[in-house]
Parts: sequence; C-alpha cells; structure tokens
Amino acid sequence: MSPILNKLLKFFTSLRLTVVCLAFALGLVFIGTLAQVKMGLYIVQENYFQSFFVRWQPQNSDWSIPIYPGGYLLGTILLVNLIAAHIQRFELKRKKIGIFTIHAGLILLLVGQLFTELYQVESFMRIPEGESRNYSESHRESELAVVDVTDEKSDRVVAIPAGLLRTGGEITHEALPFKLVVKRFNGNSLPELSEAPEGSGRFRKLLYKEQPRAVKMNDRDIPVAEVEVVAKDGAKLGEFTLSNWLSELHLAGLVREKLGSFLPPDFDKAPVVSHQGRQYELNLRSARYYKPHKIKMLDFQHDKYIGTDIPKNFSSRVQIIREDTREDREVLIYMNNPLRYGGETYYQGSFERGDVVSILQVVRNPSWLTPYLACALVGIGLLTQFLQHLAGFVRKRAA
Amino acid sequence: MLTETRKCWETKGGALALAIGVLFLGGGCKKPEISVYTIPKEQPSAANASMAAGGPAGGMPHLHYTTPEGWREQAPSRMRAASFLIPGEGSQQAELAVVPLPGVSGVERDSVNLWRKDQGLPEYSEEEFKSAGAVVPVSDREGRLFDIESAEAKLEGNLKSRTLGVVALRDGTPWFFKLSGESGLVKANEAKFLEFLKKVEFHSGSHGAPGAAASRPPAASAGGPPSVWVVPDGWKATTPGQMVLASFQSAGADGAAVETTVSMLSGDGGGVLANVNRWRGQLQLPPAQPGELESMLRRVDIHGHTAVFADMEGVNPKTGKPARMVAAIVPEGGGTWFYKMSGAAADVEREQANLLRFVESAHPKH
Repeated sequence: MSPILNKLLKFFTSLRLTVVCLAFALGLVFIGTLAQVKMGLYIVQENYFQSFFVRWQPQNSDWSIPIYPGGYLLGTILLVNLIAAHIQRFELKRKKIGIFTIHAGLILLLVGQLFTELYQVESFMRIPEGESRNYSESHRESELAVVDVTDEKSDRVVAIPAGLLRTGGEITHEALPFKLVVKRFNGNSLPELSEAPEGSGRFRKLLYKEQPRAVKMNDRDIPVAEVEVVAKDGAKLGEFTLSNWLSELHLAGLVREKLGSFLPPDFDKAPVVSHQGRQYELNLRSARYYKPHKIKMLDFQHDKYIGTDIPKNFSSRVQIIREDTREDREVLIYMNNPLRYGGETYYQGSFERGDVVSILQVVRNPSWLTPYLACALVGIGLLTQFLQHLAGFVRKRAA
Repeated sequence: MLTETRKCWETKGGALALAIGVLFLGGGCKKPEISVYTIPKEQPSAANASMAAGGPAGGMPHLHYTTPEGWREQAPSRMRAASFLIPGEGSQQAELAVVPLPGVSGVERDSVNLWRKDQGLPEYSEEEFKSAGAVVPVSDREGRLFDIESAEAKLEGNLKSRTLGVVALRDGTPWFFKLSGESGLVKANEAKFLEFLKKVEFHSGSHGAPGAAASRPPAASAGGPPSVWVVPDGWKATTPGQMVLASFQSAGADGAAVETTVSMLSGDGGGVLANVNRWRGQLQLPPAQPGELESMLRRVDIHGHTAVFADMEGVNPKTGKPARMVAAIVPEGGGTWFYKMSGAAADVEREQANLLRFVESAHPKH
C-alpha cells in the first residue's frame, strides 16, 4: 500500500480523531445554543449545524471566513472515522459481535440522519371544513411561481425556489418563454404606504421595507422580489413587485385591514404577463408540494374538558380522493394518530379560531425507520456485550 | 504482519469510508432547483367564494350569485368575493373581479380614476365624477357603471382594452365589480354582466366560513418592538399578529377580555380621518365626515407631541354585543404609533386610565 494511503488510513482510523471531533461537536452545541438566543433556532441550524464551517462576517462586508467546523464537516469526519476504524479492526470473532452491532447501529443512525437532511420535507395543509386541497405548503420556504393559466382545465407551473432569487441576476429555464431579471430580493419585509398619494386621489403605493430575518420560533420571513420579465428577443414585458404579503390570503387580509383605506380595491391582484398568445400569472408564495390525491376536510372537532377551556382532543375527519386509483375513503386524524398515506404522514397540527379550519402537518421522510432500526441495533449490541461478559463472569465463578 | 487479504480489506474499506464521506459532503452541498409540473385548475369552493382570514372581525362580506353561461368561475383568491374568466376568440379572455372594501369609504372616485389611468385616460375631477357613469340596477339597489375603453391599442394583436366597472354601496361597504379585457369581448359580455348584477345577493359577514385571524402560520417578524414601555398591572402580553408590534390582554367582566394592540406606520400612517373611519367600520358605525371629526377627538400632549384619542362605541360584529374602542394616534420618531384598546364598554371605561399611562410610558428606541 502506498505511504500516502497508509498515512490517510492511519489518520482516519485513529481514536484521537474521534475524541477531537466529539470535543468540537460539544463546543458546537454549546456555542450554537448561545447563538440561538439572538439569531433564533432556524438561522443557527442553517449556519452552525447544516454547514461545513461556522463563518464570521465583519459588519458591512461581503466576505466571511470560516472560524469553526460546522455540523456537516464534523458529522462527515466522524462517520468516515467510525467506518474506517471498524473495518481496520474487524475480526470475525464471536466476542466482538456486540461491539460491531453497536457500531453498525451508530453508522446507520448517522447515515439515516444524512438521508433525512437530504430528503425530508415538512409542510402544512390548511383546509377549511367542506373544502379540499391537493397541495401542502412550506412553513419557511417560498417560491416564485410562473403559472401558465391559459388553458381551461389545467395550469402549468414553473416554480423557482426563493434561494435562486437571493443572488439577483437573470433566471432562465427551458420551460419559460421569457427570462426573469431579479432587480431586488429581500428575505423578510413589511408593507408600508408611500409618503405621498399617487395621482390626485388618496391611493398610495404599497412599498416593502426590508426587515431583519425572523428569529423567534413562531415568526416567519415574508419575502419581496422586484422582477422584470424580458422576452427572448429582448422586449420588456413588464416590471413587477411580488410578495407573499399579496399572494397569501390571510396576509393580504391583514394588509387590507391595516392599509386598505389607501390602496385600490385590486391591490393584491396577481400580475399577468401576456406573451405569444398565452397568459402567465406571477406569484411569490409559500413553496407548494402538489399531491396526486386530494384531501377533503369533512369535519374538524375541538373537544374541551367539560366545564373548562382546556383542550382535550383535536380531530379531523377527512376524505381521501384519488382519481387514478379510484380511491375514496374517510379517515380520522387525531392527536397521536396520524394518517400515513402516499409516503407521507399527516398529523393533526393546529387549527384556527372558530374551529372550522384544520391545519395538518405533513411530513415526508423516506428514512423515518432508520432511527428505530439504529436504536434496535445498538440495543441488541449492548445486550449482546452485556450477556457475553455476564456469561464469562459466571463461568469463572463456577470454575 | 498483515496478510495480503487483510491489506486488501483495509484498502477497500478505506475507499468505502472515503466514498461515504464524499457522499456526506456532496449531500451538504444541495442546491435549490426549478421544478416544472402541470396541475388541474383549482375549483371554486362549494361555499361560493367564502374568504379566509382577513378583513374586519366577523369575516368578509360575500355574494351569492348565478354564474352566467360561458363564464368560468375561478377559485376564490386574494381578496375577491367572486372571480370569473370569460374566454374569447383565440387566446383572448376577459376577467371579472368583485371586491368589497368593508371599513373603507370615499374611494369610489379614486378607484374609477385608477381604472381610467390603466386605460390611458385622464382622471375625473370631483365635479366631473358627480355626473359621470350610468345608473344600473345591482341586486335590489343601484350602482354606477363606467365604460372605459383605452384610447390606444394596448393588447397583443393591436387591440384595445376595455373596463366595464360598477361601483355599488351596500350597508356602508363599497363594492367594486370590474370586467376588463379585450374591448370587443368585454362589450359583447356587457348584457350578461348587467344581468349578473341584477341577480347578485349581498351578504355581510360570513355564515359557516372560517372566522377570525389565523393562529398559524407563524407571524411575520417586525424585528421586535422598536419601543420601550411600562406594561400596566393586569395586562398580559399575547402573541402579536402580523403587522402588530405588541398586543396585550386584560381581564374584563363575565370572562370577556380587553385587548390592546400597538402598531406603527411610517409617515402619517394615512391620516387621522381615514384611520378613525377604519375603526368605526370595525364597530359597524358609519364613517365620520371631515367636518364632524374634530368633535370626536381629544388631544393630549405626550412627550412634546400631540396625541389624538378617539373614543367610539358600536357593536362587535363577531358577538353582536355592544363594544367600545379607545384608540390613540401618536406621531413620533418619524412615524405614527397606533394604540388601540377594545372590549365591552364598561371594561374599556375601567382600563382607559391604564391605556393613557401605557401610551405616556412608551418611548421609541433609537
């Protein structure tokens, strides 16, 4: 074996590396916990645990330098270290079975977490009684949806994640007949009125003031984007300001309530671009995940303990309707009794005042079984180790 | 000494470990991707365009109507009470949007002028507006129809556009019916539009539709209240809604609560009259005229600024019971602060002094 490979193997199989990584991991959890106070859970998760390095950025500058290993880097090194050491010291002996089973469980846990990180999608479905939905929405991610609404029976959607708008510049795609030039994007905004009325009337322009990112658990970012639509021949088709403030019904309702006296009746109308005989509606909205089935909310119940306001139970009686499989059945979803369907799990998440709107939490996690299997393996490994030691001890005592 | 087999194991194992490491690293570098898909058109709900949260407490006003032949009812979206697409030849289509503006008054001329501006026409002056338009029946009342055709071609294919707009007032709420699209197509549907207007039924509030503001999804962040204040005893902080900086509850009689909210808008926040009328609308009171506004207000000096207090008694549309609202408008720090207390009349009377102390204690952070 080459000396370099030898050195690499020696490095990656060393116990010292394990100890150093674990020490860094402890430090990361500690500083992440402190940082969460100011930055909030989600930003800390992104910057500390879902990154390779924790970076420091000087104020008013565009550059940053890595100052501490992040969660991804530590997790990767630990996993490589565990597998490499495992293989190097592998001996097919009965008394090592327990140890290997434990290590296999730990490896499965780490790999399972990687798949969860890559593929888990959490979203919610807000369904008033009597209505149905065939999509769920993200709590935190937004998208710019260019929807071809020309046809009578269907819409064709090109969904551009907000992450692609952050850096500005041009966005093109083979499914788009024009390009989008992002002139401005703010991750979080608050609507306000322009100082002076537009024209001679009292209507004012709706402006959006940039806000710092939301840090509280129950807060969310509401982005705004200014986008110019340019045809492939260079013709300008319009410039539009898009925001979730206008595309989401309850947010538009709040804007109407607070500022509606100064805004025209159709201030929240989605802009439509006409191009080559087709109409395209532009929306900046919560990212949507469409399903092949729809869920109809038949009845939402909010039970309280008699004589009190203390909630006892929330439940949603829903109807699953899927045309391609001719499925049509009722299911009851309640606390600790989710619906598992189509690779997703639907939990009774929340509801709205008035008890006529139910909010289901929808989770897609292909590796949901791995923590259970991993814990089972570790448990079996520990039990095996313990029983082997116990048997040896008893034999010695007998002798 | 290691055997050849063992060395081979170690080499392969090392390579496997490194490959898994690369997988981990690669997994961490996931980039957002554009997705393309086709979905069936959303169907209008059976509740006939009932609207979700938003608008004054008690739900949005809505319509019962009959969809004219050939018109495609759209799923309720945004703040529309009804929405239709009217297909024409080729890819031409017209749209009818019906929007009520509860709690808003005096915007009819501004709205019509906006329609005219969209078509490239000059605005109506106040005098011109008084005699503009034609009277048409809307349900059991009347509205005013404005036929606005663009002076020049505005649409693809060198076509003119047209707006047939109707403004109707109902129980103090202005309703706007706007049919717009290619000029010929809109004109061809004028008769159906007028027939539609005759048959609509107006309903205020909602029956069976979702109620007040959502408890989910999470609220927008305003970066924390940009002010410090002394919260009176007995006031409990609650989670503020969107566009509200802070909210509090204090106990009232019979289990009811008195709610106090704090919000801030830049500039004059729209002015005193407009905001007072918005609040009056929330208590189902008629809008105040400019001439009678002064008699409704009380002015108090706070931190060298003149704060305006408005005291109103009306009806809570949610409960149908008498309600009172005391609101303070305080210009300070380049913006205008709004402190609004509402609840049962006797409870608000008792908490008024606390409200004044609270407003006096508030100092914007700099």
